[in-house]
Amino acid sequence: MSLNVEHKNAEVQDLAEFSALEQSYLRQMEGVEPLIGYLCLRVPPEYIEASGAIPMRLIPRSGFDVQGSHSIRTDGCSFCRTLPALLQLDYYRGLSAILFGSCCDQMRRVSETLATVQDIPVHLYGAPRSWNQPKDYFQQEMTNAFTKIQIVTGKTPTNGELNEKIRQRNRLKATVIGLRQNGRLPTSMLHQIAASPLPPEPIIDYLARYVRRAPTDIKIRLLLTGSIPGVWELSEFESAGACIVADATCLGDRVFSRVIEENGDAVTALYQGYVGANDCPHRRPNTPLIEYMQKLISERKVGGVIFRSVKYCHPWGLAAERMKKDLQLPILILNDDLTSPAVSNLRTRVGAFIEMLKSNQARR
Amino acid sequence: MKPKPLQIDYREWHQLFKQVPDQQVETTRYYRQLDDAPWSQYLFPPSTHAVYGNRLLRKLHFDNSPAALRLWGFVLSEGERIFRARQAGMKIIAPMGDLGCVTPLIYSFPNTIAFYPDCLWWTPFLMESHVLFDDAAELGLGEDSCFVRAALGAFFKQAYFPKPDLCIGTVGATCDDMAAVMSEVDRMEIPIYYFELPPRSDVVSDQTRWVNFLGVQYGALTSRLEEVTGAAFSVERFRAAVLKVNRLRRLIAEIKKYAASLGPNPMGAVEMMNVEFAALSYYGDLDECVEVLQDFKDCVQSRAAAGEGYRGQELRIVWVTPPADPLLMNYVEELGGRVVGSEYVINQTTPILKEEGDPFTILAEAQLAASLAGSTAFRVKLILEQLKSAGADGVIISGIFGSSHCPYETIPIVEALRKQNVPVLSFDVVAPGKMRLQSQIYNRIEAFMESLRARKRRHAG
Amino acid sequence: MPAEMNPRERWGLLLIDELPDRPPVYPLVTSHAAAVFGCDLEEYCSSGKILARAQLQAQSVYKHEGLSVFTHVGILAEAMGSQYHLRKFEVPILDNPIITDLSQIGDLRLPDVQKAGRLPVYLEAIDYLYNAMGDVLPVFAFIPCSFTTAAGLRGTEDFLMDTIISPEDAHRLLEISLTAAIIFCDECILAGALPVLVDPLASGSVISRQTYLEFAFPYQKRLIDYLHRYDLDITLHICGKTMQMLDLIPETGADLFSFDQVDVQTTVKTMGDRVRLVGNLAPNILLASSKEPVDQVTDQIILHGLRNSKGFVLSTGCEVPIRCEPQKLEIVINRGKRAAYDRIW
Repeated sequence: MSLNVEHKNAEVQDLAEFSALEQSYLRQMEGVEPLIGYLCLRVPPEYIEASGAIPMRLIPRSGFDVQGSHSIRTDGCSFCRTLPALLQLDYYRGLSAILFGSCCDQMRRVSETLATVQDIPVHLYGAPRSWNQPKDYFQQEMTNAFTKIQIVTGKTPTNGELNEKIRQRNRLKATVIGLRQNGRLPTSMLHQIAASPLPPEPIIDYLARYVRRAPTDIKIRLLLTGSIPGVWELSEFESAGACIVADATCLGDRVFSRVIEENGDAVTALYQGYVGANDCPHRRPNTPLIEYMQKLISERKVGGVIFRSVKYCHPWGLAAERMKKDLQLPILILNDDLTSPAVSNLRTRVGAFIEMLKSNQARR
Repeated sequence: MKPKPLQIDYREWHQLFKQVPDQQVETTRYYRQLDDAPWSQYLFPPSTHAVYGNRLLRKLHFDNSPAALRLWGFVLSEGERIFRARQAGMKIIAPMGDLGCVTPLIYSFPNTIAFYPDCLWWTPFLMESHVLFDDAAELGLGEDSCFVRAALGAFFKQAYFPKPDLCIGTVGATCDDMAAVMSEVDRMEIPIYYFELPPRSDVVSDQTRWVNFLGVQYGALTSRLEEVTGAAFSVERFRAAVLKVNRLRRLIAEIKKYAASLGPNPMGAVEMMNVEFAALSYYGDLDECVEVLQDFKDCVQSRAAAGEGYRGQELRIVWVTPPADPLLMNYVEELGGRVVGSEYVINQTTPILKEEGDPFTILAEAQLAASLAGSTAFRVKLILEQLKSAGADGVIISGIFGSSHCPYETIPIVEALRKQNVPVLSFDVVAPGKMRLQSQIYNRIEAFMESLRARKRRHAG
Repeated sequence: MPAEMNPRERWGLLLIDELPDRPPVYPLVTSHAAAVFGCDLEEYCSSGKILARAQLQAQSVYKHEGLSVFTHVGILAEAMGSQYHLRKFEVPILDNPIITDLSQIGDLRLPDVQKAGRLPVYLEAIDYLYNAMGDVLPVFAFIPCSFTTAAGLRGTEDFLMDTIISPEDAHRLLEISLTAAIIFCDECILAGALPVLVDPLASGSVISRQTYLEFAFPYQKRLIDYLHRYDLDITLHICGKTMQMLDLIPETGADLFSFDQVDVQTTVKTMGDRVRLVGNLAPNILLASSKEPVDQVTDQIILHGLRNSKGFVLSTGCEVPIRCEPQKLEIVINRGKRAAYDRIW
């Protein structure tokens, strides 16, 4: 247990340092480049960066569900419900526009809600929900949306600029995936990086410290999947004596898993990497996502799965039983909203699950 | 047999049925193109279907016209009809999620029919049963998803319809719950073709690209249907199907118009909902469906012209989102309401299709009218149009708990209506058997109807 | 793997010429339900609620696939005035027929189905069962055909003599019995049950083919025709030997034939392409005293029954004996549940 506590303390310190770095960068860039909020994995941050703006991924935060928008009913996805309130945070107040790469029906609809309650432009672009669709229509959708962002930034990126941003992001992706494969980068930091407004270089510099660290020797190796959990939940998962070595949530390893072609037509490459090949759970069929998870399980020697879905998140929540069947590992299914009062409950369930995995391991 | 308009129960229909001439019972048949189909009669009273487990029929009220009996018989025999179609060698296509857009194309293939698994959402209510919900839950679709999860239960059971030769899963700007159903169906060794429906922008200039994209989708779907049916797509057959579909859509529009006439209410709300939903897949037999609706239109038209209708139903209601539990409509009628307008998320089935031009563009353009593919603002517009044309006193929204659209639409719709000073009642339909919740809804409907009546009195005074 | 069908689904497919996952297993558990429930037959036959609760109890024990509402074959005759003697541990028997003289036939009145005799017991039981389990289990109401009711109105021997000596009067009795059956069928349907027509007195064990053809068949057919007008799928049950009239059964229009002392193979061969078959384990095999191997006999019935192209229901040839050996009945049911059709999906 003391090892866990030590780990946890180091993690908290790392997260605080990284946050300070982000804050400092944002202060430094205030008035220099506009902030563009975006959702979700289908929006290429490279495009925003090359358009002369800072990409800020909108991510769920615990405790906001209870004060969710009055214009979304309580049976709406917990994350979507938090968004209007979340955008009132100081952190997001400076946004100049929000960009949605449409995925599930609820995301599409919440973009409309935000457009009515926010006084900044909210743009949505349709993305294919099935596979093998001709790219023309959807790529055009994406570029049209970016054209609107460029009205905010006043800058239209050249192909060369886009490719440069792609190269930088690819380097970041390679660094992150390398650290993850070696068990050196904890999931809480992975999430922080995935949503960070920082450009790739300072993040890569920051990550150098992890290269020097010893990889985790925790025996219980987990795959985390489902909707994006809050930071406190991540902390609960990892402090219970397990290590999340693979993370298939929308802020996890998937953010870094796809390397983008660097030398061709950048827009097409970005479309292909972020939209065309995106293995979101709402795509039909969703087998590529399951295959990705199976690959992670095998590569990272995963022994158990935590499937954590927010209430009324249909693409994830309604796929839980399917994942249970397809992943063929002990699985803990947590269906929660983004409020935090259920900490003890969650701690007990996670603790029991990890104990079970430990005893299974001991028996083997 | 032309009785004065009344709403009667299944018991009364059972007795009244004795007066229906034998010859009429004998000759009222579906799949008339088949020579030897002893099973194809369908003019039977609700009591017949109640015996086979449709328990809600013992509680519902039905219109007492022969036309309504025919409609009910046709609707309630759909399940058997799909099986019979397969026995007769027809191809069975199961579109999902698009609610009535792809069916004109399906019916333009020879010996091919369609049915919507989505519509199985009524089955648990009709049977007052949890069976299909329980089966869906076993596959991961529990109470936090829409009642369409019953469709998954039905696929899992393999007892409610024959194995479709092809499922067409429309995904994109459709509901997430049905997409979850499709995901599981995909793993049941049933061929499924995904039809992509991107979100539709309200900006007219963006819509041309959208229509073009859908045209391409229809082209690709057609190729797949050619493979499945073994028949080449024929523009002539398509035009013939479009003519029939247009006739059906015109009939529905006329029936709606007469049902909203200023005299007494000439037709029950549940029958009207059955009529509107005929536009989805024509209950598996387009030709017969047109005849059923023609009969029905004649009945409603003659009642409206003669000023005949039910007594005591003066409060004019626009109903938004179809209620999975039709009994709620009867309840509103008992309390003096009548449904004069509706927005049942199937506005895409209302446009008259162009009878000339590129087939795929014709179908794609019709989807510009789709209720759920676009913004909530678009749907609000549809509701306000209904309200205006029907001169309604109020709006009832029967929502669907756990669906992907209701949480986002309901409040903006309610607010938009209230801004127009329109009284509105919004509730979620509860699953069968939840008596306590059900009684709360009844109380709310009662209070709403009372307030509408008082308001009407005030305005009249 | 698909989900397991429930009895309602299984029967539903069978009746529209589709093969379910396996044949429904529906032994005729009637008065034996009273033994399972722990009541006597006087109580069972006198209270719809008790009858229904006993049926539910038996179904929960055996998991067979249909609920049976039945007290005795004289239910209509009793409602029209004949006196039956209720017994605690045996089925009711006819004490005094209402027609002792053929001149009394004109005085016969149709029963008030809501009040007369034991008819309200039926209706209460059906309503209870339908509300309790009607979504997953079919409810069957056993209704006597004219021949059996006429015998109950007149007394069996006298009625059989009438068919020879005074056939016109026999037909008058049969006519009113038919009307009574129709009005009672209507009420049973409205309460939620599918009529199962029983005509034990029209059995080959009792009458000749010629008597059947002249006095039973036409009324069975008319009753079935009446019910067919409502599109109901009708089971005709005739106890005992029916070999001599087997070829006539499909002509009644019956959708299902519940048969007793006839060889399965012969029955399948004679009518299997036209009628679904329900049968036919001899009830006495279910008694503790029987030495016959219940498993083997059941397997043979299933083997041949499954070949019936119109479909098959594993059942008993007649009522499960009141004092049947529960373990034996369980064997029958379990073996039936192991049978399977090749699935279409």
